[in-house]
Amino acid sequence: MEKTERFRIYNFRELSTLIMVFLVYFIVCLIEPRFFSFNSIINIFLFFPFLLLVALGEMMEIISRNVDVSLGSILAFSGYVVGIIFRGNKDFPLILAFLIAILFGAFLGLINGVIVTKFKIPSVIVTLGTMNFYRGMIFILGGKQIDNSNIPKDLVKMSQPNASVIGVPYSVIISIVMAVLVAVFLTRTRKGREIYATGCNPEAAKLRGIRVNMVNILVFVLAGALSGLAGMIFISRIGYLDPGVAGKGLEFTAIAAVVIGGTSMSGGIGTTLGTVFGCLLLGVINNAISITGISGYWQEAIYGIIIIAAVIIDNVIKRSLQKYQGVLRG
Amino acid sequence: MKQMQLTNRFKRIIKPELIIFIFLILSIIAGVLLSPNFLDASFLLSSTTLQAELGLIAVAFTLLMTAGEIDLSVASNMTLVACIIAVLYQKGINMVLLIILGLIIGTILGFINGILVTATKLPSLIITIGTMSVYKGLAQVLVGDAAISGFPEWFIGIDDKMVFKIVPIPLVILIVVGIITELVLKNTFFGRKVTAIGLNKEAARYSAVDVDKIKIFLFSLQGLFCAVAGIMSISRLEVAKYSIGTGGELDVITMVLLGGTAFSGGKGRTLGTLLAFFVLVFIRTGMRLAIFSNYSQIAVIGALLIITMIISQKIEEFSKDLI
Amino acid sequence: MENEVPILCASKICKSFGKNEVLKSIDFDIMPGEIHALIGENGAGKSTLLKILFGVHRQTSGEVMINGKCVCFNSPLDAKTHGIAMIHQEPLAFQDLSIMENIFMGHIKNNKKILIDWNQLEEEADKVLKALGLTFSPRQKMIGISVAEQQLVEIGAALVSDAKIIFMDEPTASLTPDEVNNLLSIIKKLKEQGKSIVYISHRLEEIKEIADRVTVLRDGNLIGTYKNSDLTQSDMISLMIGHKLNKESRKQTVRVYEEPYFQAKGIGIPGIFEDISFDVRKGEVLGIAGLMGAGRTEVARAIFGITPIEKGEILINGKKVEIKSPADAIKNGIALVPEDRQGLGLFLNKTIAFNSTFMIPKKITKALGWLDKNQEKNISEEYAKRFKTKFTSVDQNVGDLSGGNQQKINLAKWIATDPQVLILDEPTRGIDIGAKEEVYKIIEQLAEEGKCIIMISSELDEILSLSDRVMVMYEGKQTALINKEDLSEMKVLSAAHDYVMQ
Repeated sequence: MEKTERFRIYNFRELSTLIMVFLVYFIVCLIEPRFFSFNSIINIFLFFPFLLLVALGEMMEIISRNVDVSLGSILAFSGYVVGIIFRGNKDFPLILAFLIAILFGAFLGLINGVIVTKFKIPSVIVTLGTMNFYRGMIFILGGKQIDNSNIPKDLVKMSQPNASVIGVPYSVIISIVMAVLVAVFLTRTRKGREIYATGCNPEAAKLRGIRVNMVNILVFVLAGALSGLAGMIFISRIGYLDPGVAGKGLEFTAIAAVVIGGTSMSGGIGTTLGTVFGCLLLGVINNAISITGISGYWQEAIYGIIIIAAVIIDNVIKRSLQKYQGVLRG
Repeated sequence: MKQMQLTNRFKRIIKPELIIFIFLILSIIAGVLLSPNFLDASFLLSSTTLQAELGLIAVAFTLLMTAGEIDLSVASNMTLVACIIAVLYQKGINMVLLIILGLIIGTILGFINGILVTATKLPSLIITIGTMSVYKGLAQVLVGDAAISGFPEWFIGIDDKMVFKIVPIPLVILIVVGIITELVLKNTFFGRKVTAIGLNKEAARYSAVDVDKIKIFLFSLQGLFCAVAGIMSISRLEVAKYSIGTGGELDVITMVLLGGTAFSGGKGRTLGTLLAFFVLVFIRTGMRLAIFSNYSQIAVIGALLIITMIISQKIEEFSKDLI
Repeated sequence: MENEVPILCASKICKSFGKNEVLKSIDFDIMPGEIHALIGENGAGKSTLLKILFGVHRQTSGEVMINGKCVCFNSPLDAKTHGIAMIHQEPLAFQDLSIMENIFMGHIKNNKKILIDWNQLEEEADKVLKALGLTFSPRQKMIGISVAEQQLVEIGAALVSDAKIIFMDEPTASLTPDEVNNLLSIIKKLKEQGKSIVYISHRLEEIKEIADRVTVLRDGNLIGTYKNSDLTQSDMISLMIGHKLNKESRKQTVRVYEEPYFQAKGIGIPGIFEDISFDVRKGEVLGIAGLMGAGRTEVARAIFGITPIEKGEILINGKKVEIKSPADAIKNGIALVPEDRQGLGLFLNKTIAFNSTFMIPKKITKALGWLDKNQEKNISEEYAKRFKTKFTSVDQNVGDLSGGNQQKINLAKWIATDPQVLILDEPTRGIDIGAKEEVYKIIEQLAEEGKCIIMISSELDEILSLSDRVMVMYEGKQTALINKEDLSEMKVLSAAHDYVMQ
């Protein structure tokens, strides 16, 4: 039996992102040889973990046709809650702290999801509201910075390469493990596939018996949980938590990573690997900026250009695909 | 049967437009509760200047949303224009020239949004998330962490200049512009075309409306208003920083939605936006007097945004059940 | 076969949309393992019946029983759990997902494991595809295959979900002859497996080939259910149109100018319609007949500039004109009253005044585009009255009017532009008899005034009684251009079905 397989353009997308990562890296190395050092690679990988966690959540939301701008605030809020616990008791078991951060993040995500589905309000508006509400709530609950002195040393060690068995910081390992879990979830479980189906064609999904509301709530909860985890990693990496600033704007960086990694804003398309590569690319750009002496302030502008460029490219690809399909219709 | 008639009449009275009045009253009550010093007319009037710039942006935003589009880059636009003016002023360029330049630049920034949206046919949400970062980033590049000051005497302090001794000029500008916009929306054919586009883009196209041209115009107009807002903020703050516009989107969107404009388009209430402006001013002023930090304030406004949407949706459903 | 119990039995199904009665007491049953065709003219109610049986609409009255038990469908999901599947003309698929996912979405049987075994799924998908005669890899994305193939995949999905009854609404409309043959043989195979198929189609040869029984609807009424073997194609056509007397032409003899005012020469849009040529004289009504999907609306949209023509020419008064947008069309005196009055013609939440004056801003504005509300009121009242619209005030929302009155405002809106060429797309769809008569009078009046009228209609009566000439289309091509003297029901219908009469 003849098996015909036409265009593998979807795999192409991830590959192109990876190629871009190497391309940018080597170009920058040519401009600034210092970049080609163990240190800078470490730096890339240290920025990487909490961005990746938030990006994983954002990716799932975008695949299901939602947008979430509150993830940075969820990161901060979860981190803050854990920080208060640490302030009270520095010996609080780390595992428990992680659990609390994740659950609290999930809870905040649940609120997002319920409001969006129950009241049928566009996700951008709801999360714009909760972004500010959560951030503000931190201050209503006190809002003092969580200092370095309050953070258990063990937590900080998680971001240090030397402190780990393999030479790779635990924080990086955790985020990669989460990426793998998300990948497995999305590609090999029913619920994961339902997320794609819902984003691809919500009406058809309903007709197939998929409970679209549950799917939507799920992605918000998962994104919240991942952002809660990111909060812990954030504290681990930065060493303290300034509740006004922590995670601010991170969701837009995450969107940039997700979009350049091949996830489509119209839903139904996106891979974890692409998001990982997208985060890598942003990490490289981020460090390239600081090391080559370009003002660090270019970061945000560049991310914005990346978003627009990636979105336009994907749109062009999609339209040519549709034309191809039109040709097939004869 | 009579029961149904009564419920129907009840349902007809609970129009979405009513909410804003209720909120207005509630906000005044809240303000009074928060601080005994609240009910001071001249104080309240001068407090409006703190939000007047955002109010101006919200007026143009109302038009844009009526046509079914959204622009998340408004605060960044405003900031970028302010920073460009500040940086160039430091280089010695004439302020009057810079004001004109700023207006042009803001319009162009909006125009870019319009072109991207109409050419790519992508949702404006996505495009403006991108341009928001670009504009914000460029402002950052220009100004860094610095706070640029030293503007000419005649330029600064627009918020102190009054009409009739107690009404600040920014408020007057806002109200005048708001009323003109409302008149255009409700009483000109152009306003009808805008509404038609938001109601049903395809039907508008079939009715020979040049949808793309009007959308580009509205985005450019939004950009212009952002530029005006940027100029006014420098005048008021006497300083230009890259953080001028931070968080502005929240207030703008809340004003527009609270005022009764429909998110899905086709229904624009500029007067509602103006009233919602006052609601926000009252709430913020009350909170300021009660020494709420800015963070607490945004928590309240964030919650307000969500509550507003929930109430609007509920009322929509309610009135749709009309027999 | 004789004494079997029907698997689905619908009795006395009535359906009204507002005041519009679409189905009047329909009895319909499906036997297990039968192919049951549903035929009738456009607007006869076939799709509506199917939609009711599939749970998209709820019947106004009447009962549906499955396997003897009364059922009430609130949504298509309910229908699916009762074993009914629907194959849509435009596939309702997950374009970005793989073919095997499209087959199995919602039905992945994963009883023991949490993780999906893709290899196993691929094997099963292979079996399904093989049975349908498809050779591509199940891992391929849905977007990469043709519409015909997607349709077959949809059938595969229906099979996998254990559907006992499969509805197909015009499934062959977008298929090539080869694909049609393939589909028909698959349908026969399904019958052998004991599935029942309900098949709506205009292609009578197909129906002759595969159907067991044929149910004919006309104007929402059940004409009858017959054995396929008892009917010829000619019989089917007669049943569909009814044995009505040829109506006398309604139109008075109107002075028709000799020279054509509007000419379309070989116009076409590749892939949609091709080589359409006709002309219209002033005072003449050109009817355009054909089946749904024949491409008539596309021709109208092209002439009006929504999707401009890519081949051929349009001439007005002998001069070639370029129409690239509706604004161009209007400048050249062309107006189009769209078929979908609620979706494309009117702004439902707006008033009569708003809608009827939307195309004539110059007449209702003063300087700077400022609206003259008085003028607006006067003009809209004038038009509404002229067309005998039932309304309380011009400030009434158009959405609150009945279908017939909405259509009158739809017409008024465009007639106000004083067009020389007026294209009407299904001007009396979904409106009651009284309003229909009034619309006909308006059309005649306009013709008398010397306008060119191009009228697309699926109602044979309308076409025959109002038209001076009739152009017939079939699948994007022009199949006939009939003059008044030669006009007959049979001629038009045959050309519409591309059926050559003996």
